[in-house]
Amino acid sequence: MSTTSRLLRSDADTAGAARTYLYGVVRRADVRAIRSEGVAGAGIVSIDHGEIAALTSAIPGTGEIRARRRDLLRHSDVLQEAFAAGPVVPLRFGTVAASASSVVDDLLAPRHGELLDLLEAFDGLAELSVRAFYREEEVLGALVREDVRVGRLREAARAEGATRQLQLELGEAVAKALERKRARDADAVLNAVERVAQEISIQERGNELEVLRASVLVDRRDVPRVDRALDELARSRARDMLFKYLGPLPPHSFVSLRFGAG
Amino acid sequence: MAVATHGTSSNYLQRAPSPSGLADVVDLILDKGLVIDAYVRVAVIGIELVTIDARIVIASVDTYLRFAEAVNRLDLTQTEAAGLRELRDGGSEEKAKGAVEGAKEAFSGGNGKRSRERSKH
Repeated sequence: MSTTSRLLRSDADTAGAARTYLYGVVRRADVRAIRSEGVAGAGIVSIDHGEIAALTSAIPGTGEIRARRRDLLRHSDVLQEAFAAGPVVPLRFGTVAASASSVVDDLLAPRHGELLDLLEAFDGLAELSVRAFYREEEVLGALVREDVRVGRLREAARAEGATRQLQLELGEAVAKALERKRARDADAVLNAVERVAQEISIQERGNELEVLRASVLVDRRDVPRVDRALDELARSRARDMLFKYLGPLPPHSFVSLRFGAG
Repeated sequence: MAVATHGTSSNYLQRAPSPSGLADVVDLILDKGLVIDAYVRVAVIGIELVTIDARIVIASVDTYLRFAEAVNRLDLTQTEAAGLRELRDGGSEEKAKGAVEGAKEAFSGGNGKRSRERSKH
């Protein structure tokens, strides 16, 4: 199979660079110019092999690599731009090959078939990221009104001379009632999207007021349907819930392969 | 034909087309995506800490006390009134925007800081 490297930005300087930063793998036929700058400001280079290509950039020097926060955004920008042209298998942030030839020898050549299959499988699909949060005062107010035990404990805990033990009991009752409510509301969000979802990935939540953190894999043509379903839900729950909705993204949450050495 | 009624003619929830801030990308690209064991992985200074801090243990004494305090502080007549007002007025465009902004704030490191402070007590 033929192997070539194409510089996708004419002003990039890759001369003498040994190490190679990797963003993702695309079909060779989908390779387009990438205007976004890469990690550390480098230009994006496509290393092509057979029918696939790795999007990479050179890491200058030989010392310690210190990726900055800005580089996380660059990694994401490069993948988003490539994703506009076709399916992308995204790599985890911070993946560095020892050399450009290692990208071919250790990844593209030995995994050509698997990577091409993945790209075909993801063709036309996109990840949508959905997060829902409670508005604290509203959800706690609802628990006090709706949960008899929480309401009663609150009255007792507000009385003069209430013990720390009583506060703890109240807090525990709130936490348990909140978790029950959260599980129901998380289901409501999932129900809204599951009809069009090809796959759903549920992620660990960041804090106790987060209702759900999930990614949905959908056909890109179904994105408006998800928009409508979530819009309706957000509207009906505007009083006590906030939503954050992002996409279409490359299938970050649905690439579960781990390629071992060799 | 769809009948456009007040408050339903435009999108309430805005979908952001691509990640725009650090908080958006941290979850997507730091611990997701294809992993190749043969290759070195570079860590970003300062980021790992934030993501670990954000994972709060819910069943803890600190959380219970914070919940108790928050519930005791609640002015029920006020939250009830706000709820009724919202039900009466229906959704509005500005609220949707506010909601998205609020969610952004909730992500941008605030969580981590809060949990750190709490764990000191």
